[in-house]
Amino acid sequence: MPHALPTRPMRIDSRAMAEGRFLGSDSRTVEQIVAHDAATLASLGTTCQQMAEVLEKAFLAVRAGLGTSVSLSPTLTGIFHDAMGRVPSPFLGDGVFEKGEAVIVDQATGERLVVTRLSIHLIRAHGFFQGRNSIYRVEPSVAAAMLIAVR
Amino acid sequence: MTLVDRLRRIEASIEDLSSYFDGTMATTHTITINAGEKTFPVESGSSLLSALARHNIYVPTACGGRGLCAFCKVKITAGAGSPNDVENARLSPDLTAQGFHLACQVIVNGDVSVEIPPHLLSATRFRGRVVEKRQLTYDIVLVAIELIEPTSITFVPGRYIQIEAPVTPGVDPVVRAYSLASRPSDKRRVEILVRKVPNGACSVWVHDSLAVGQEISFTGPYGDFGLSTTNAPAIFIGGGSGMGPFWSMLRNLDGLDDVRPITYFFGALTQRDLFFVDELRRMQKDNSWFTFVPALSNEPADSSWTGERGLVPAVVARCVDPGTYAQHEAYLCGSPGMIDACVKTLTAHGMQAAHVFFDKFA
Repeated sequence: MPHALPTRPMRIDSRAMAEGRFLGSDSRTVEQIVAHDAATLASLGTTCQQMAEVLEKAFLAVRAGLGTSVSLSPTLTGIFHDAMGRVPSPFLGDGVFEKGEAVIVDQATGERLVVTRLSIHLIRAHGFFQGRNSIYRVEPSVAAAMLIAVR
Repeated sequence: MTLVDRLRRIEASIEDLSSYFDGTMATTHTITINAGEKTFPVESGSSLLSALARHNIYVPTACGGRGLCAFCKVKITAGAGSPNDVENARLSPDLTAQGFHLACQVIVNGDVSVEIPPHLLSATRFRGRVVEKRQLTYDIVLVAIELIEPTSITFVPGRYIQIEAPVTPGVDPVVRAYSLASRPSDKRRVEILVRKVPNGACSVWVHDSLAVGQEISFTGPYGDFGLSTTNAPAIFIGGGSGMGPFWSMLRNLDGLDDVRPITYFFGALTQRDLFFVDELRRMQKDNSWFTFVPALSNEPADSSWTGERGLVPAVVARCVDPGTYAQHEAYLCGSPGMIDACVKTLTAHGMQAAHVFFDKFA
């Protein structure tokens, strides 16, 4: 299955990229990170759009819990932590996104995902899962395995 | 060459140099506010945001003018030029078509005419000293600031201020908005409620570093959230630090007789997230117009809690007489998720959308 990468050139807002710590401790460029994760997605037989869709479904379900624990599947639970304010996308033209994060835990494996509105957008629009050790990096292989029950 | 010739040549050079610098020295332009309500000169090359601040017009900004937050949008009616890349990134095409710009991105190189909402014109920069820091719950602290300069503040309950937090020495302060929780009659002091957000730049600093006795600066008051002038019965919904504006409103009304009926739904997860409960129950006892409904959504089933249980939208739907929604107004303060859920519930039960007012934490 071909991985549908966004084809428009990346217009990175370097100030927002640095301020938001989207690269974490990663020494690779954004393009290199995107390419590496795209290859992972291809090996998993999915696309960034499909990944964004299932992440968004999970995010909205957890958000609706208003801070209470939400069961997404027999082993997946999520809690939403709200926060005041907005955060800008590190890509020019994207705008700002509400803060707040859905923390999803697989009770069986202990794996943990932290999903935000912006992280979903970055995956959908740019194939950007963020750099290693970024607080909000979504590891494609972990997300794919965890969210299979949410599709 | 005679001495006179040399002196004339030197004089000509000086005149040439003067002409050169006259052409490149900073020139002054005029900023016009609200079609002439205020005008002032500004040197060429300033950002509009800093130029306005130098003339005591404090447009809100959460990023210190770095083009990240889009809080500083203003409508420019003349002299702006096209939006730059950052403005196009942060503002919708609809807003830019109406002439909105980010004040931090507009560099003044000619006369500029700006529309500034009245509430921004009355915002001021304050210097104060922390006189109280009281832990209300495990993650919410009340901070009281006594004013140093100016010495008094005037505001309508519901408004907010922007705190300048010097989180990292040598770096521009982090700026964050907090609702005013104090009584407007306490003109020399302001209070805010701050929830500690994991990885939150300002809230972590407030909780862990800000000390009683420390000086702090803020601007405001800002915003247009507040009670309407109608007498429609009101529903307040806000939990955690979202209580801030309601704490201000209710203490402002406490003890008065001719007040519209107000029901305050305070949503929290468990009993450890509740605060000011005794005070609010006392207010209910002393004011016939006031009903206080704390509601817990994650309290253990076997606990001693005898109050309402469930998510706050469901509790509201249970408690409010179905036939009365159309007569009510609702005031909401909290996270976008909570507000979206409450707006959906309230309008589904017949409340007019125009009668739902909110201060979204976004």
